[in-house]
Amino acid sequence: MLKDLTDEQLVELAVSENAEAFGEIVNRWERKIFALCYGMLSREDEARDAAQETFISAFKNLSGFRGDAKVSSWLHRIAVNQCLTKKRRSKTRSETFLDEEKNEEDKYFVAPANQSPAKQFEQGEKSKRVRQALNSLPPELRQVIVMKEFEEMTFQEISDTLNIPLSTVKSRVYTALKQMRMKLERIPLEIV
Amino acid sequence: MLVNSNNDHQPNCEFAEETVSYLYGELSEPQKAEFRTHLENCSACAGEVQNFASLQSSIRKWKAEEFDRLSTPAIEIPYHTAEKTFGSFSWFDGLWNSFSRGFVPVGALAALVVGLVLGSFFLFSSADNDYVAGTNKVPEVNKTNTVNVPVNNLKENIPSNDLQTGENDLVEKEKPRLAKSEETKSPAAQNNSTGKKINPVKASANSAANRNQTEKAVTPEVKNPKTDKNKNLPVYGNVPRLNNLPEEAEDDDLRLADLLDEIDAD
Repeated sequence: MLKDLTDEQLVELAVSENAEAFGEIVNRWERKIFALCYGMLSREDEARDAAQETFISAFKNLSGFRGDAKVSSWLHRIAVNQCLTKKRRSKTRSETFLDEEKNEEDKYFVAPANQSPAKQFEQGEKSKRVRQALNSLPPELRQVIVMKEFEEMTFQEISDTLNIPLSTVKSRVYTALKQMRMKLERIPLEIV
Repeated sequence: MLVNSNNDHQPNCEFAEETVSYLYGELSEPQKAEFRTHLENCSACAGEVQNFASLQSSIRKWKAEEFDRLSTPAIEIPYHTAEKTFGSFSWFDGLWNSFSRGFVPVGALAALVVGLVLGSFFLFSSADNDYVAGTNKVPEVNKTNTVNVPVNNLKENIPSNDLQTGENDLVEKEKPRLAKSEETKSPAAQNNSTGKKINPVKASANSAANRNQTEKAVTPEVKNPKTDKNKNLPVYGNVPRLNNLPEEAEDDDLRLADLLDEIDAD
């Protein structure tokens, strides 16, 4: 059964005998990779493209996977590179950060129906600023926050995936939260 | 409830790094208890934990509202294109890896193999040519064990009645070859054809004689250097003598003489 095999065994099987064994790897990681891409890009369409490209790229380079790293690490590395490439292309097309945020907010934000208009506005504003604060982070800090909050990975899993020390992971999360807090505090919100 | 915080200083506390672990619930129970005790005594860490918890809550709300409702994309893998080339991809990839890792040893090995094959080919080709040119090299044994025997000159030493009656199987069998200048049969075949038994030892000598005669086989273009040593031997026209091997020539004499004696005896 493919479900009983590890990611590395599935890759080996896909390379040697059955290319469709790679489908099991896709099933296992497609949601998390999509979450990573969404956290990095903050746009659904770009996140879907990046996730698709990640798995296609991984499939094409299956034979190049040497097995010295985990499959999850390999997929995350490909996904982050895809996201950074898309970010660079977006910038070269002169799309501003504020324009992206505006489009994103108008398109996707749906407040719960039981909230008052004031509450809805507050929540919308808060989400907008959280997204802005996250996008303002450097890629390495943004990635660990996204992996912690969107992929819901433990510190040890992040350490294993990124192949960095556990203390480094905790330090990056601490620094990322501090920077986000400082950005959000520029516009104080006080509710009585 | 969000409160504007003016607490911007960074705690220089040894427990600062554990703040995020406590925030995300990744401390063990003893570690959690120890950190809670520390929070009661460290306002900096307590403030950090409170601010981080608020931010964490905001991030999770944003994720729940904007991401959790999104469907997982349907990832399409181009298996059909992989099937066409996947079989070749693996061996090609292996070949390419060998090429990229060490072209020199692979290329050297290939060149060596090609050189050996070509060298063997030319060597054997030259061996045949050398025999034809009369360099006294032993030719290849005919696969069908046939022997080119110049029969016509055998008449000089073989009683004619044997030739006529056909009692001598060897001669009889050679008769057709007179016209064709071709094959001889094995002693067993000769035995079966006429019922006359041939001494296996002498039969082997017979075949050996035939072989020796083969060595001296006639080819029109071959010249036969006659020497004093060989003057008692029947002359077969242009037959190269094994001048370099006088002992064998003497053996030829003996065997041929024995053969003729046997024929006379029969």
